[in-house]
Amino acid sequence: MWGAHWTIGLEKRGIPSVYVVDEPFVEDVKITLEKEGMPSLRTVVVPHPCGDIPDEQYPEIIPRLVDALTVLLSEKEKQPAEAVPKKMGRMAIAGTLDEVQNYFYEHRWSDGLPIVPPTEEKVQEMLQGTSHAPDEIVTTKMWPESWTVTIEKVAIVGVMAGCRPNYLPVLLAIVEAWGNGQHFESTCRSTTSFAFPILVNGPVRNEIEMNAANNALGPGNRANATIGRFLRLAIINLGGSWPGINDMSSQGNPAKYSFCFSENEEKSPWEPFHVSMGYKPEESTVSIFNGCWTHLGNWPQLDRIAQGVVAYTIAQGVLVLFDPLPAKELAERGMSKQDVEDYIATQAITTKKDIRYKQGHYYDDTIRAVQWAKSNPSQGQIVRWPMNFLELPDDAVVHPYPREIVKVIVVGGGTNSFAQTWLASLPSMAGVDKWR
Amino acid sequence: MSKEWVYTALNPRGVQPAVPVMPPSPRLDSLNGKVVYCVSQHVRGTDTFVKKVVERLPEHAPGVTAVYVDKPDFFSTDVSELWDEIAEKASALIYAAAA
Repeated sequence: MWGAHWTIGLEKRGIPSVYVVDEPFVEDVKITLEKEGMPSLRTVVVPHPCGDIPDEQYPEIIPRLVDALTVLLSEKEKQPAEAVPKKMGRMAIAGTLDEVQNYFYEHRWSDGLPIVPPTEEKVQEMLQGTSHAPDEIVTTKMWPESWTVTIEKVAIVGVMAGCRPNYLPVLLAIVEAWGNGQHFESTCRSTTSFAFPILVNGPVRNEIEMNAANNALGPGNRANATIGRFLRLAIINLGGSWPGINDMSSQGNPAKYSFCFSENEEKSPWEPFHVSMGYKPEESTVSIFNGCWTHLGNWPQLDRIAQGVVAYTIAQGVLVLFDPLPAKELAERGMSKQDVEDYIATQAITTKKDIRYKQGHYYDDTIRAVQWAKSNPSQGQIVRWPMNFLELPDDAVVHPYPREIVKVIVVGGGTNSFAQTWLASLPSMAGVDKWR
Repeated sequence: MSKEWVYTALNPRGVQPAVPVMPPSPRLDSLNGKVVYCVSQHVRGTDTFVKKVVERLPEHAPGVTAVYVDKPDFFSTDVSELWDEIAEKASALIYAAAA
């Protein structure tokens, strides 16, 4: 998607261009070209991955590249049809339960599980959960396709997910936070299997009876389960995502179905996450994290956690979820939450050689990021590695995680002294109370 | 036998914004004497692919000058200096991102 975006940018500056599309990404690129207003950008489709194409195929590919740059544009290419969005009726279908389920499934409007039919009656009930008008726009940037979302559409998807009306302010805050997170545009279409855990903080947790205790990350609680599911159904229906079309996760991730929990603020010895992030304790918030294709557990010893998280392939951030038991033990040893985060960040160490091995081909991006930052100091690049990183010897000790991307949250029921860590970058957050 | 309930379900789809469209730039008569920038986004072997294109492009387009470029930084970073260089020096662009 980004390659097509940069290519269109140069076309708009008058440079005749051709974008090479690897075969599995044909639909994704088509959507991107339409979204960016140049549906007739010339493309050449090649086998995937293009780096593995045998030499004997180049005499067939290169003439197509030459033609793309030299053959006159057709009248259709010169006057591309305006991308007029399909007019969709407010009603989708009238039918039996099975017919509704089949219709939603066949139209790619579900996550594969049966949905609750969003009838007028159920949607009107859901809309009682907010004082805002149904036609009010919540975001114009619902990723991945930057669609526009009204409160009524959020209510419809909330019904489909099985949410109750009093969850609606949380759902609206989730859509607002999602729209504010520009990075979701690429991570939810990435070949890496990103998931997006939702953390809920503040009084709303108890108002809607969320579970922050035993099995809070697992099944059994309607609010946790359906709010988590809501985000996936919203990405599909409100943002235009679909697996294999513009969600290119190579393997997928079960956490993409539903991953929502609240912090056990009552049992935590430390201030809640949202307070650490600058909100007031009496405010309610949602935080959507980004990543989570890998995680570790169970032991809560900080040195084990620090050793464990260096195994993650791309050190984009660490979310450390402590059960209240080990959190209490750490607090009794005089450690604040910030002390714990400091410890993990400073004790998570490895070598430059190990970073290169773990990042695989993404290590090239590290090289480029450092080179670019060195040659463009005025660009304000945020670089996690020291400027002399490339010159360091292979056995040089490095810290994969800057302090600010290690975050601690307390969740669990205290039946054992456990912790788990998830690879996750800093969240996009939004307040819930404005949506009441 | 009881009658099966009929549900009238509302449409859940978000609103896709209308986007103004524009055509690509006019094409070149030929690549003879022209400079073609060939950019690799450096993902999954695009460098290998683009280097081979640069090497073999003159066999199919006599007189062309093919310039290999690795896009600096992360794939989503806007590298405006490179785009300015291409806009100034290139007659045409080939861009590969393995996606």
